[in-house]
Amino acid sequence: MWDKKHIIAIKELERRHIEAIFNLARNFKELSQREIKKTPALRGKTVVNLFFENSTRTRTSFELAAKRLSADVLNFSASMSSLSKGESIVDTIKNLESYHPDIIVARVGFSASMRTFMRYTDASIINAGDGANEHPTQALLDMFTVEEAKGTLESLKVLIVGDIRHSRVARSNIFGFQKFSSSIRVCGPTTLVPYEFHKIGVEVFDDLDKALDDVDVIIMLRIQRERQESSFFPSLREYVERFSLTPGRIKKAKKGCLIMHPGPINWDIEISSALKERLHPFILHQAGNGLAVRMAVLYLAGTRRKEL
Amino acid sequence: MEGFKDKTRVLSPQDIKRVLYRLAHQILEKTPDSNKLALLGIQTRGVFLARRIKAIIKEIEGTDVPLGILDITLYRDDLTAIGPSPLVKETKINFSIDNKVVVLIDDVLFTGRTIRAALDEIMDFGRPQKVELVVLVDRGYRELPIRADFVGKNIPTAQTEHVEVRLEEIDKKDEVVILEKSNK
Amino acid sequence: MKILIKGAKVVNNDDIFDADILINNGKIIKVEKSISGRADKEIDACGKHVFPGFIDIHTHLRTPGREDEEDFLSGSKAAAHGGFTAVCCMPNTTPCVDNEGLIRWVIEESKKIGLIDIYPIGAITKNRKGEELSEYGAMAKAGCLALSDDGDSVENGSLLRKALEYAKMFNLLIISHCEDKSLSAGGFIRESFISSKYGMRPVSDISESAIVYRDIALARYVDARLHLAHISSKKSIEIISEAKKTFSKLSCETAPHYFTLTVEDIEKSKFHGNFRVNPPLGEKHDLEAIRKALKEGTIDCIATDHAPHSKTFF
Repeated sequence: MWDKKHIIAIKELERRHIEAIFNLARNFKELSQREIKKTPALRGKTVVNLFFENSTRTRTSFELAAKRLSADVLNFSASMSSLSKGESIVDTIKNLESYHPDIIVARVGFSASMRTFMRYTDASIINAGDGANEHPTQALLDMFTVEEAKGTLESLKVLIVGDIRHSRVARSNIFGFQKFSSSIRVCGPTTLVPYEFHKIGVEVFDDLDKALDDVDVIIMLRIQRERQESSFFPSLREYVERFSLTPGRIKKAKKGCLIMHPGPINWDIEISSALKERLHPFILHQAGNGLAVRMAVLYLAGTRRKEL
Repeated sequence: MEGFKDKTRVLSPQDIKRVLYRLAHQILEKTPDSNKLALLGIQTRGVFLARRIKAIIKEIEGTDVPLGILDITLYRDDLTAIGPSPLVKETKINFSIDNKVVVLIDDVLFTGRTIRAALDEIMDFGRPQKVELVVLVDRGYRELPIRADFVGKNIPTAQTEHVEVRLEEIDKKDEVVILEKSNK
Repeated sequence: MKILIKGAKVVNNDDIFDADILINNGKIIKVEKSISGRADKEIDACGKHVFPGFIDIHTHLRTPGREDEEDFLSGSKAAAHGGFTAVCCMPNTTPCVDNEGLIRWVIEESKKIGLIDIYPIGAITKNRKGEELSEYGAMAKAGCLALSDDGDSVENGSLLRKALEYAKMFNLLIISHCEDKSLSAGGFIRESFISSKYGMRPVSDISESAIVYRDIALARYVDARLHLAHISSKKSIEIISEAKKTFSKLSCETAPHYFTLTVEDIEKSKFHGNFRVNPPLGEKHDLEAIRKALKEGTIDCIATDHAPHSKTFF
């Protein structure tokens, strides 16, 4: 039985929760193939997309997911908000609370700060990214995509490549895949893999050629230009030389290895554009799964028991 | 069922078999062109009944009538009132229902709310020429103006009682029983 | 008016003993076993410890500038309530206490309240900017006892050297806030397993210990007194402990949260804002090292680093 009011972190979910979300997501995928892609499940419910950081993909994906379930959606982003007029985040939430939202989908720049929201609203909170901490729905859709393609999440070798230090996607995926006894490797410049990360139970690599050996799944993370500006690595040229996925390198992974990317991709930085034709369709399919997974999460939050 | 015990068995395996043959005949009698037919079983037991009726039609007419599976959870009118998020099961209709005579099949007709939800969901799939409702058991107590076209058996019950359809496919035996509250 | 405290465990700097204490018009006149005779007020202190008034050498009274957060009256009351009879207040106010006028003003204003003694600490550099020395001579004359740019290190090593040298003339103590801001910038939690797990901007303990090392080296070089504020890490203690063997002009303090709480408590609190302090809470080995250093005397005293903030949200 579903017993979570909020979906804040993969850390806080159990395996059965993830499986319940996947079961639902499979059914919601079917719904998206219908002529009329909408059900009345969350009719009369209000979903607020509260984004204090820019986002197009995640926000639109949540928005469409909520609309497919017939909820009313209110988009609130920092640029249009009163924050620029000096209102605090807490006051913003209190203001939104006067509309009695049922679900707040939130993104903030501060790690592990979702609890602040809970204190000021009765709504279910769904974390759409908090600093470098977690981005649970992204990991759920990544894992869902892997399960769909591989038939299992058990005992896989999963490699995450790129800026691990600043990545909420990496953290959520690590905690998620670990719940299914998959082993995780991370690979990136030594400056971008945090101190003490091995204590989380991952294998740390700084050599992509070695890290690729025998892996079933590769998650390539987006490299943000500002990381170079703050000297985490000296130039994109050096980054690409050592960490870009190329046709030559890809051969070192297991045959049939899945290659994913949360998007948007910098071609020829994270992944060589020579692989575009081969890899892009699956990465787009991965993004498409985000809708079904987010519908599942919204459905569970929107139909939760009142006393939760 | 928790807190209930069997009171009377109203249909035996033989009865169920006979009833299903009769229902299949009734469906065909009303729509002699079996190519126009499409069966939709409502999750969970309606699906098994629909499969059996499909087999019987094949036996009688030699035609393969398309069969779809309908889960009405997302269309329920009490979705947020009943509490814990109800499980959503598979819906699978991999044919067009446009201009078909859609035969909706369920095990027990009670308040009519499930059928209301099913009708709404069907409309989201297309525009059938006609929708007919077939149920194995009608136990009364309707809360909406809904009526079945063909009924396996009308079973008068008390509102406190419960009617349970058990099918070989998941319950290991075929029978319909009335349950009453156990004193324990 | 006579007050008699009976049956107390009296704690002095070098001893703990059972005694009664007789106070006449605010002055302790007798500390002896079983004092008899009449008093206007008798306090039964059986099973209790009686301490001399505490001195807090590191507080922020926010005045002038943020009297909404703390003023001399509220700060004095808070101190007295906790048993403190004297506090030293840091100069990171607006305006900054970096001149004789403000030193005198703080002393005079706090005397008007008269609850406790307030000793202002002057800024090492003008407006704590780390660019020019403030007027130590004038400030010393006005009643300033120590100097600190608390909140920031004096980044420029040459300037700190001059400060240490120049302060000697007036017997002023330099108090160092040890933090390399290029190593701690933007961070608010100790770099640790927990900061990695939650992807939080970390502050490594070397941002403290690197400056501890540099400042001790400078003080030793010019043979000046140096006091290190709010020491929070094992690494710093190792450096201090080693230096103290050969350099007697060095002293340091820690604060209560560094030997009672660790970064794990922040996680347990579900990241409550009350656990956010600077320097950030350390790890278990830091807490243990600090407790040991307190016992052994490597750390000379405990200061509160009392620093009131108004309730604001991110």
